Amino acid sequence: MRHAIAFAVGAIAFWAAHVVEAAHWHDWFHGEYEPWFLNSGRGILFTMGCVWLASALTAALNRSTRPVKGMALGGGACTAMTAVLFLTGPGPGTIFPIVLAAGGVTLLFSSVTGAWAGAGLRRFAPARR
Amino acid sequence: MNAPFVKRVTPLATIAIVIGVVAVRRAATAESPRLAAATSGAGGEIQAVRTVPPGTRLASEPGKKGDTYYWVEGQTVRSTIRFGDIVVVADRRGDGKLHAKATDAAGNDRGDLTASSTVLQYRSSSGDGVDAQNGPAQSVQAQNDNRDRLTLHWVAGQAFGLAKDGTADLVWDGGVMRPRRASRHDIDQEADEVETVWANGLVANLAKHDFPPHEIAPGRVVQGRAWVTTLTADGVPAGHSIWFERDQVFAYSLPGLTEGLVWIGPEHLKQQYGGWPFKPDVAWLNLQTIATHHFKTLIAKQGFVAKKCDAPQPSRLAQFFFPTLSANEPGCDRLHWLDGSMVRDCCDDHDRCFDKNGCTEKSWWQFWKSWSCDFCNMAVVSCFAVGSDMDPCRGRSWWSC
Repeated sequence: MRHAIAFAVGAIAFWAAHVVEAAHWHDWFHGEYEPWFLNSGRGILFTMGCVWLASALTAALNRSTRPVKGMALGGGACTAMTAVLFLTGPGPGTIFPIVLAAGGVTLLFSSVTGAWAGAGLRRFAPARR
Repeated sequence: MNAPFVKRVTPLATIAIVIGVVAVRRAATAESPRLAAATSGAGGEIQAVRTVPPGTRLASEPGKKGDTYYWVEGQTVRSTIRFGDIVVVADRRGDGKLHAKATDAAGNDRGDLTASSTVLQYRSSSGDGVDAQNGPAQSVQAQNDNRDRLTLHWVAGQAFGLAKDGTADLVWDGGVMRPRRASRHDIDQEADEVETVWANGLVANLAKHDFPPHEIAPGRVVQGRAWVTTLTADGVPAGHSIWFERDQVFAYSLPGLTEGLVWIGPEHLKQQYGGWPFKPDVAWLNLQTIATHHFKTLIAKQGFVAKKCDAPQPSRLAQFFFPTLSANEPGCDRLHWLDGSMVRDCCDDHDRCFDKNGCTEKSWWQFWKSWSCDFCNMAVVSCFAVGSDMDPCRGRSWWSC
């Protein structure tokens, strides 16, 4: 259940980031091609930030004794990324496996480091009785 | 004086005088033209050379085709114009003459024209019934009184006019021969398609289309009848250009060489020329597209390697006007943030490999369908892994550089 929630949070985080990017693609993200986070440096930072924040919050608010490692959340973000890649825009593109790999590494990095930061934050939080 | 001395000297003196006279005459003959040229000039008068100080900008005559145009036109190998049911193919001959042959839709001969700067020779069709309106076959030879330089476009138009109207009672009208009773043809309006085959594998194809209103730039709407030129380089799409007749807007897109759609309207030319300084014609649109590609390619060759092997694709706006190309994008599809990096070459090579072998993204999972596409995909993966481009000239047959 814990993993399912993290997975869903990751998917929602990526999807929310994509929606914001699509809405402000030209003005905020200076996008030239179709709205897609790997098409813009700002888009990459924004998506990574969203996933990182979601992962950090999930880890920080985790009530279980087992730590959140961010893999499930990263998996959810990658799933959402794949869906967006194939279902929106002009299609997956001619090098989509490379795109998926690059996007996957980016999102997993964000979610894992976010979870690590959230877990660290949790250690400093006052212990609950 | 004694006689023996005179007898001996006289023959020697005679020989010396004869040799002297001949030598003087030869020298005088050789000198006279030079003297004449120096003293009289070609027209009988001497004209001072008009020097131009270094750095002075000489304004060419607006509206008149310049040396560059004729240089570009001179590289045209063949020009084919389709006028309804008549097709005219014009080409250059080895002796410098231009030749145009007119045929009808069924391929029947409608006449041919050979043109030099001084003489025009036209032979009408054989009168086998197809050309019944013009009567029996006839040949016409005429002085070329057209003052403009010969171009394939002119020869093709002239051949079309003569094939259409015949050769009876010819008169010159605006630099074109026509029968006195016939009206003047508007070649640009009557031409349906124009193909210009140029050097270096460049081919420009012009066709006419009607477009609904569309914003070519913020606040600038174009519509209506337009001439659209599609450019290919060695058979691969290399760009487009368009001319809107009513709006007088010219636009072009040469993916890989220009960014997006570049457009020029009369508003851009108003201050300097008051609008378009010349009337664009169908030949100009093709040649302008070819020339832009040619010169921009020359510039690009000095720069990034990938530009040599760019997979040309249009911008989004260009796709509205030029919808025939695939949806593939230049650079790294869906990974455009890396377009400025070293892996850009990998993506461009891969796009070109896809183009050449007719691959799509489906080839990634339908790998059993084409070894060529598999090679493209493996190559791009290894290129990304190594982090550098493959030498396009090593894989020339694949990338068709």
